[in-house]
Amino acid sequence: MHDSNISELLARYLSGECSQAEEREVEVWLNADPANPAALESMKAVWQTPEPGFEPSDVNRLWQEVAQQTGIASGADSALPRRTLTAVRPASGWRRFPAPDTYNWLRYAAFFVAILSVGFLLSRAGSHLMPWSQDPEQVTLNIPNGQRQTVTLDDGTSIALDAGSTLHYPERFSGSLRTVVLAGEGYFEVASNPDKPFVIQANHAVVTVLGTKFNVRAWQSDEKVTVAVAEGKVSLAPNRENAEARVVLTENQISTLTPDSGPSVPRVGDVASRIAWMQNEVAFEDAPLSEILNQLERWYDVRFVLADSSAAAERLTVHIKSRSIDEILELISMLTDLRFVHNGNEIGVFPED
Amino acid sequence: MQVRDEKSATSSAISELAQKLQGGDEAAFEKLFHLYCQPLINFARRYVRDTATAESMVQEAFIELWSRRSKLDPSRNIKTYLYVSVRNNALLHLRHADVEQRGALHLQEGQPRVETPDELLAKQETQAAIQQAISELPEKRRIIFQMNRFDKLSYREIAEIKAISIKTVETQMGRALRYLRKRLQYLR
Repeated sequence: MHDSNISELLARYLSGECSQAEEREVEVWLNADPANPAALESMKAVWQTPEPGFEPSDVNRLWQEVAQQTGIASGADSALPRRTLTAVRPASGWRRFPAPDTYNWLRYAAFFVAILSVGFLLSRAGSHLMPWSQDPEQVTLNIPNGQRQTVTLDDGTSIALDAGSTLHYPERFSGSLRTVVLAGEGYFEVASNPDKPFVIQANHAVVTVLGTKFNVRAWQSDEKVTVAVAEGKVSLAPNRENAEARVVLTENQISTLTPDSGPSVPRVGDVASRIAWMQNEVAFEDAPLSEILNQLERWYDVRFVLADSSAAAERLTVHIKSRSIDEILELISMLTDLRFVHNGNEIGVFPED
Repeated sequence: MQVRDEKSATSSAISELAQKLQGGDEAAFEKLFHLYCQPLINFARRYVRDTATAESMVQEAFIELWSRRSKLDPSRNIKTYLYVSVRNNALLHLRHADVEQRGALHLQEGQPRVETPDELLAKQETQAAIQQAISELPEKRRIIFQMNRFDKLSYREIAEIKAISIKTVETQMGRALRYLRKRLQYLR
């Protein structure tokens, strides 16, 4: 048993706050009882334990917002979507997916239309950080984890949005462009209007269309933005001023854009598999575990807590298809030598011993 | 995203940045932002569980710093200044939203029943047992522990940021050690 003075001394010692005289006191204590050195060793392990990993923030985006607010020239483009702190309340009519315990994913029907009422409003261009700044024409839609939703816009365009996605769009399209902002994943069926191109700002990418059907995958936690076209023609470019790199995708083509390089040359690919997320099917190819866990968190509304943050970087190739989360985790467990332990809504991730 | 950690910037480099900031140097301000943004968010998250709120709080602290730049005290440590600022924002937010009570409850809800020695043995050498024990510390003690161990703040810095005495920090750390030792005595 430690009395309080010894505990404080050892704490100071372990935290590197000891004077030389105090270090000598610790040595005296170590020699006083054969059990003491081992006790100190185990406390050293506790003292040096790393903080449980969690998702780092997008510091660049946060800086952009601060730079805008303080009027500092930052050299990058404007009109970044502002993150909302409260969710929009959609009108009735959207269907809530069953809780992770019941698995009816296969019954998901292709599209259902949700008419949204205006809830929390924000302005996009020249965004502020204060929550009370409003532009009455913009709508923000946040899809919670564990749910999906389709929205129909003023021009008849319909967008199916996956769990965890956010869409900013105007109540009414005015001007020469139809512009929306996406963070997450959506399948677009854009109403044809040759006179008014439809523009999607998705993280560091800009997707421009006239009238088509395509998928945009743009999670802020992933590095890349991926566009897959089912029908029609779509252009993909970096969301920066003076960006010259731009590709045009046609039917059955896929292109990927990373922040440091231009869009990849469009290649014919399995577009159907890119839209399969609507049937709860997704394939990961050499993707980091963190990306896969992020997807599972959004679909099943759970939270992973990693005991060892280095596990998140491990790369996997895995096909997930309409299974229960426990089956999926068992699969991942076999591939990675990790163990998953449920704790309420959280799932701890530990190395297998 | 480039990762810059504090170890690569010496304290003299930081005071140089602070001085430039005082003179209105925008690049210096940006460097300071990138240097401290993530650690401050980690720190803020201990008070407010929601990441988005933590991020907003840190942004507000920096905006405030910028607007006060010409009035900065050159002898003052800019790092502790930022931590104090974020902490004040956090406490104001908690008070305003009356979330403090709920926050404390949340901590208790997450606690599973205390495990038997056999179960702890089974979890031997896992980080999880340690993290769990840390999460069981009373809130103020846990925050001090995390500030020292995870934020790498010295006792003196912690005392300054939390406006308490160094003696209090020592006492709290000692009690943390005593609790963790008892809780984890079946770990090798």
